[in-house]
Parts: sequence; structure tokens; C-alpha cells
Amino acid sequence: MRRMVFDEDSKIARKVQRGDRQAFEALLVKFERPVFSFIYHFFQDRALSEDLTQETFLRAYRFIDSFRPKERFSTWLFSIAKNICIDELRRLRKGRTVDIEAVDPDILVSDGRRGDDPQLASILAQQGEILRQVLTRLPEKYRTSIILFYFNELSYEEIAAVMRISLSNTKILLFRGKRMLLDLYRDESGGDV
Amino acid sequence: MTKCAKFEDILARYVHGGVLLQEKDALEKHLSVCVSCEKLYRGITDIDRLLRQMPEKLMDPPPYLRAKILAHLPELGMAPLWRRWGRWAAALGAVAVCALLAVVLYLGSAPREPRLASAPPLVRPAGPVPAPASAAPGPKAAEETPAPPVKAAPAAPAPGTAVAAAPKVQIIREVKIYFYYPPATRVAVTGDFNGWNPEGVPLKAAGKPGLWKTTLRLKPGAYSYNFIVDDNILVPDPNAPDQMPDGYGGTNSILLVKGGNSV
Repeated sequence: MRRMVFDEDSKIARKVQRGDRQAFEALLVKFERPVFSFIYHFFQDRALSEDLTQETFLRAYRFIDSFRPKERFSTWLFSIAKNICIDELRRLRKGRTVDIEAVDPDILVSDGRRGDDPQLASILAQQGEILRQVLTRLPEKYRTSIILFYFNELSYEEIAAVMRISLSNTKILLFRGKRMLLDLYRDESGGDV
Repeated sequence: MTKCAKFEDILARYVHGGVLLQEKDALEKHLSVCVSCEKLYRGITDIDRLLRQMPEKLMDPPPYLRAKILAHLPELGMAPLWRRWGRWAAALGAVAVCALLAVVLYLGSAPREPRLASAPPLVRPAGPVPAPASAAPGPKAAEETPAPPVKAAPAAPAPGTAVAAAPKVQIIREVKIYFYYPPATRVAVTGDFNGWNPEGVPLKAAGKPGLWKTTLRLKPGAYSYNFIVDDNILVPDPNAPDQMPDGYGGTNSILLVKGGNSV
């Protein structure tokens, strides 16, 4: 017998559907950081991530009636964020390009938890930086699945729901994404991982 | 390379789970002899490790962003209401047009004696309503409840003959739903018959410990449904003859309520 949690966020979203603005604020508080992070990793552009996070939530609010309570609210919201990222990507490809060299200085600061070993922290920060850069060169679907899996820590089932693909295809997507990432990483770093 | 290509899918499941035992043996054997595949596997594992160790996975949005988003909400707050009103307005408009047409047609044929079309035969099903094993008809199950005529319908219209209003019978069937689930303290049923309402229709204890029941009044048709256990766990009906993926990684049970003519 398969079990699936009828998540609390869906119940809150149901309140929003009935016109409860406070309920939407609760969802905003919970998902603002994950959505912002997803978009940030997608574009590596802080200002753009702000705009697109705002657009994601405003679109979610505007179209809250189309949310089905059976669905997980998080996957519905990430689907909106993903679609907004794809739209933006198309727009950028037509016009300007994403400046992947423009690195946010914040991310160069090493993680405090690794302060015991400055050398290791430095290596990890360097490797992480290369990865972030090459991630933005991946095709959209691979980029989305990798960010959702490794950064937003969504499950395979949740990613399958966001991407509207099967579970097995989700795993293949992640695998192929990492394979591309590996090739790009080797090219960029001039050697093995 | 074709030999290696066939291992890609297996390698993907080897890394992310779901590989069969015999596939795993074959892959490990292949990895022990194929340098390029072994290098790929090592590389993928290293990338996986790097991604997991990456600092700053969740980034803090600027503190003003939340207020900025909320500041834009009030004006949008009207949109759902407009859409709801828009839908109702469209439905009311359609009903008004139909009513007007019916009146015009009726007045046009007023001097003639109206002829009532025979209503579709009400057929009582020979057996239980073909619903899942847990949805069995009780003493009153599969009962047609003719509703009052809801809409005027032309009866065999022919040129120059009377067009008369005919009562259309709306068949509503009572379907008893049973669910045996001893660990539950509360059970409800929800589905597309109630817009997947998170509260659902509550089931009551059916006498026997762990057995729950309720009665749904449904029009003939196919419905997706699941049980809600203890307010937040969706459980498909283990006895439903038909199940289908819900498109979100879960399963829906299918309830088929047959109409009068098809029984």
C-alpha cells in the first residue's frame, strides 16, 4: 500500500484560495529562501534572482486557483519558478547573455564550519566556484534537476513532479546532467575532479 | 562504445537507486574491465560528492524582498474573485440564453398540445454498483433518485410539429464506501467528485473494529479518489479494481459509477 503525505502547505494554500492573505504570507515566509536559492543557482545573478523570486510568488498568488490540493505545494511552486527561469533564459538568449564571470563575493567566503582546515576550505570553495560556473552552462532541464536535487534537496518524486517526467527519467536526467557537469568541470579546471 | 552505451541507464540507476540485482552484477563486471566506464563512474561519484559538499546551498534573499512581494499582493487579491465571478457570470449567461430559447420555442408552439418525451428508462442495476470491492452497495445502494426536471429538451422535433419540454432525469446513485484500516483514528474520502477537498467526506466506524464506511451520492461516471487517514495521509483504496498514477508520484483509485443504460 503506497502512502503519500497530504502536506500541510497544501492546506495552507487552500486557505489562500479562499482569500486568506495571511496564509499566503505564511507560505512566503517558508518558501522565500528555497525559491530564491533555486533561482540564484540557476542564473548566478543576485539582482535577477530577486526579480524572479518576486515574479514567482506573485504568479503563484495570481494563479492560486489553479493549484490542486492533491498536489504538493512545494512542487507546484517550484514548477512556476522553473517556468519563469526558462522564460528568462529565452529572453536572455535573445538579448544579453548571463555573465557567468560575475561572481557574487558572498559565495567566495568559505563555510564557517570548515574553519578548522583553511586549506581544505579553500580547495572546496575553489571547486565549488568552478562547479557553480559550469552549472549555468548546462541545458535548462539538467540544470533544474541538479539544483533541485542537490541544493533544494527535493526527492526524486518531487523533482519528477516539478519536471513532469517519470521517476526513472528523473534519475537518468540527473545522471546525464552530472556527466555533462563532469566534462565541463574537467575542461574548466584542466584536470580531474 | 555501443556496449558501454547500454550500461548508461543501468549506471544511472546504480548511482541513484533502483538497479536490479542481475544488472548490478553485470555492471560491476563491466566496470572491472572497461577503463572508460570505470573512469566515468569515478568522475560521477566525485561530482556527486562535490555537489553535496558545496557550501551556501541555500542563499538568503535580501531582507526587503518579502515586504516588496507582499506590497504587490492587495491589487492582485482581486484577481481570483474576478475570475470566480467571471466563471459564474459566464455560466449564468449560458443558462439565461438557454432559458430564453426554451421560452421562445415554447411560445412558438403554444397553441399545440405539448407532447412529453418519454424519459430514459430508469434501470436498477442487477448487482452492486460496479465500484471497488470496498465500495459496496448497501440496502439503499444503487438507488436512482430522479431529480425534478431540470431542463427543457426538444422531443423528436420535426418540421411543423410540436416541440415540447421533456423532463430530463438526473440519475444520482448512492455508493457505499468501506475501508478497513485499523491504525486510523480518522478517515475521510476525497477525490475529483469534491475537487480533492483536503477535508474530504468523513467515514464513520462501521461496527467492526478498523472498518470505516460512508455513503456518497454520485452521478454516473468515473471518479478518482483516495482515503485521507488521520487528516494528512493519502491512501489509495487497496480493494479498488482500477488504480492509476496521479501524475505526482502517487496513485489514485478509480471508482466507476455506471449509468442506467449501461448496466
